Amino acid sequence: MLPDPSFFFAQLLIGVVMGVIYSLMALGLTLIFGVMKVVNFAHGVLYMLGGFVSYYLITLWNVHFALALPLAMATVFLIGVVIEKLLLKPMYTGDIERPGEYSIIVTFGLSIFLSHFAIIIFGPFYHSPLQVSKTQLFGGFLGETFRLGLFGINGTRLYAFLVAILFIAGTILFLKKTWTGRALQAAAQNKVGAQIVGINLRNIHALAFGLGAALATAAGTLLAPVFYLFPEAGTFPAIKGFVIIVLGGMGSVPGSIIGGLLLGTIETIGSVAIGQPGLKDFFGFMVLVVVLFLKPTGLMGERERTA
Amino acid sequence: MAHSKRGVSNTVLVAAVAIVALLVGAYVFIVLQPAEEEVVKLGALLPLSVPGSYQSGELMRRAMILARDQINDNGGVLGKPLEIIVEDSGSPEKATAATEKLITQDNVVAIVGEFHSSQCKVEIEIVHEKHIPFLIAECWSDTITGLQYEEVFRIAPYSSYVSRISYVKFIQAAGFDNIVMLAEDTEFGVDLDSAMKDALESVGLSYTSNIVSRTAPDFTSELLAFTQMTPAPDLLMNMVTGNGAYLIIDQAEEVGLDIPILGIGSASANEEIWEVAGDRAIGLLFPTMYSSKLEVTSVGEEFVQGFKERWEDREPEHTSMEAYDTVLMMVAAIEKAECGTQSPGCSDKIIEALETWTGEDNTFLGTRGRIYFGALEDEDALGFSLYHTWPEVPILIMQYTEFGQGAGAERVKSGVSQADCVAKGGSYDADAGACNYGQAEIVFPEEVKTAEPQY
Repeated sequence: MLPDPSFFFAQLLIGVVMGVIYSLMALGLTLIFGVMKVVNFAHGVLYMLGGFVSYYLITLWNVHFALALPLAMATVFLIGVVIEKLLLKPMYTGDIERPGEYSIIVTFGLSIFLSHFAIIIFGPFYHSPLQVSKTQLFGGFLGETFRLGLFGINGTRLYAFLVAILFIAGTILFLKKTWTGRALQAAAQNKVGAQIVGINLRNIHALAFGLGAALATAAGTLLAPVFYLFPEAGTFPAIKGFVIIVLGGMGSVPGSIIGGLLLGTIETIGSVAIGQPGLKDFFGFMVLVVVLFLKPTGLMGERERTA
Repeated sequence: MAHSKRGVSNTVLVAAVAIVALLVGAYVFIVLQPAEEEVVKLGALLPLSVPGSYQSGELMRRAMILARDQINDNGGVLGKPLEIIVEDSGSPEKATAATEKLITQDNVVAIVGEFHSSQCKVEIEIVHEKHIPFLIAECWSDTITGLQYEEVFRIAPYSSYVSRISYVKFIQAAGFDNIVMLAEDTEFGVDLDSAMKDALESVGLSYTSNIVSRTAPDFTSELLAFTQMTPAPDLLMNMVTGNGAYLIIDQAEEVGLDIPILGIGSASANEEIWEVAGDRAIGLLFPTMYSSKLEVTSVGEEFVQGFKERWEDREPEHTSMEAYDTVLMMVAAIEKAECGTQSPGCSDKIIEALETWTGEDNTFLGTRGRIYFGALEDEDALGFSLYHTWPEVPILIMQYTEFGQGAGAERVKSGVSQADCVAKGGSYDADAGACNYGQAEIVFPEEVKTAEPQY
């Protein structure tokens, strides 16, 4: 028996909202891989770290919820630049024989270190800035629940969804319309060519890693009141992020957006269609396998251009 | 392969530093390590990392530290200091390695603790093979003691008991007819799902469940599906530990599933619930094994007071009490056995000592009552095994009726403004500069309830 159309529509909307949130989770990861060819295993901890920076800005220093977002992004951007300069620079100095493997080991090690460090610094318990900030936007918007037929969404999730769309659109515009964005794209497409036209790759790599960290922070901050904050809060976004960048095509920003939306909707609709909502992950990985079988480079992935 | 001179010298320098550090570390380890016979070593297995519920693991660890210090302040065990070696069992793989290490490297005389049934399941195989006594604090799966390994004891509730004795009786008393449950995809969740299905169907009640990922952050799709059921469900059981315990409260409201929720005990009793779920936690029902509204044993009083003094006024929840009890009880068994070193003979004596607590006059006074272990012969009458399990774990169903309440005792928080305190229904003590939010009510069993449940 086919499900009730209004129920199906509500599930579709749940999937679309989750898809956009997934896309935001993956955006920074995509940017870093696209430009640096680094699979950043520390993406999840940067998400968590960014979330905690904004949480403490809001709860300890009474910073407004909306203002905490850019402040936390700026802070973690700088942390990202420092990480790139201190830990990833040897990839480009010729001292490392296998830079790809080196970056995996470094970012993986950083991930383990920071997540354990977070348990010591932030404690093991769950946090959310919502109780402090729920009256700060549009007279209590964050604490409300909105309904459209069977579909319901609370203010925190709706806010995360809308701001995520702005961030995704902003990132695309930045990459397409600014000189810095074009330089990032040039470095992503052909490093030798980029250097020939005068792009400083060292600075571009630091910028890419910083921006990726800032985007992870945006996701961590926006989703802190939705999915809460705790030292391992970044594990789920990291796992979904890796699925999405492979699904969409490694390093493709439009691919990660489409991949996120596809994953979110298929996970929800697929599991509802067979009456087993608990099988979301099964459908998520099934779509990944099918796409990779049909197009091994992912939905919008391309073979790397070389000089 | 060409190396620069700088590259070679750097390598030599790093190698030299590493060798010196190793030598210094080994020297410090040997010099500072107490001789084996100077201490009694007890192993502790607790989830202290993901995917384990490390929040509960940390609270249990704190309770064990308290127990260790109190024991050592009172002369130790068999005249020697007690050392508790805590290992992380955040996943079944980590639990396997941790149990092996405790037994083969640390040479512990016995093991206590654990929170997750999936981890318990692998740990009991190792302790059984190595013949090491293991007193479990919180694993609920029936199979843990159902396998009847002589080394394995449990003072936690277990799925068949909780579902048949506590949950179903509460559900019947409250008049719920159509029950839905989200259960986590672990040994605990799957086992409890099966036990609840049997228990509810045996009394003719409707039951629908979904097994969900314990680490997933979004359950809206599953919860929305419950809203479309006919007849409509009237009770949601949330049997997901960790983040899901709180997220489901939020997300049920989000999708319009406006029915009472019976949550998981350990997470619901934590004070973080008010920070993450806020007002939505008002009305939450949850099981617990301790309330200061009832008479607490002298051991329980000492524990609660010691825990709050040691850990900045944080209220202990029942898993901390269980962890504390496992240390005290195992130490008492070691004293009884008069044997504090690892050996098959010593294990036999400790197991024998634990088995002497059979009820009536032979019980161990724990934080929540007199603990004893059931025997094999009880199994036929009840339909489930009580072997090496505390048959009468006290289980209370509690309900938060006001914002900010404590689970086991009144929740008093400093650093809250008088206006915020009063606005949330608390009473403000200006002298102490603290807000008293009160305490959750006991709504079941009938004979001890302090308030009628509110739906």
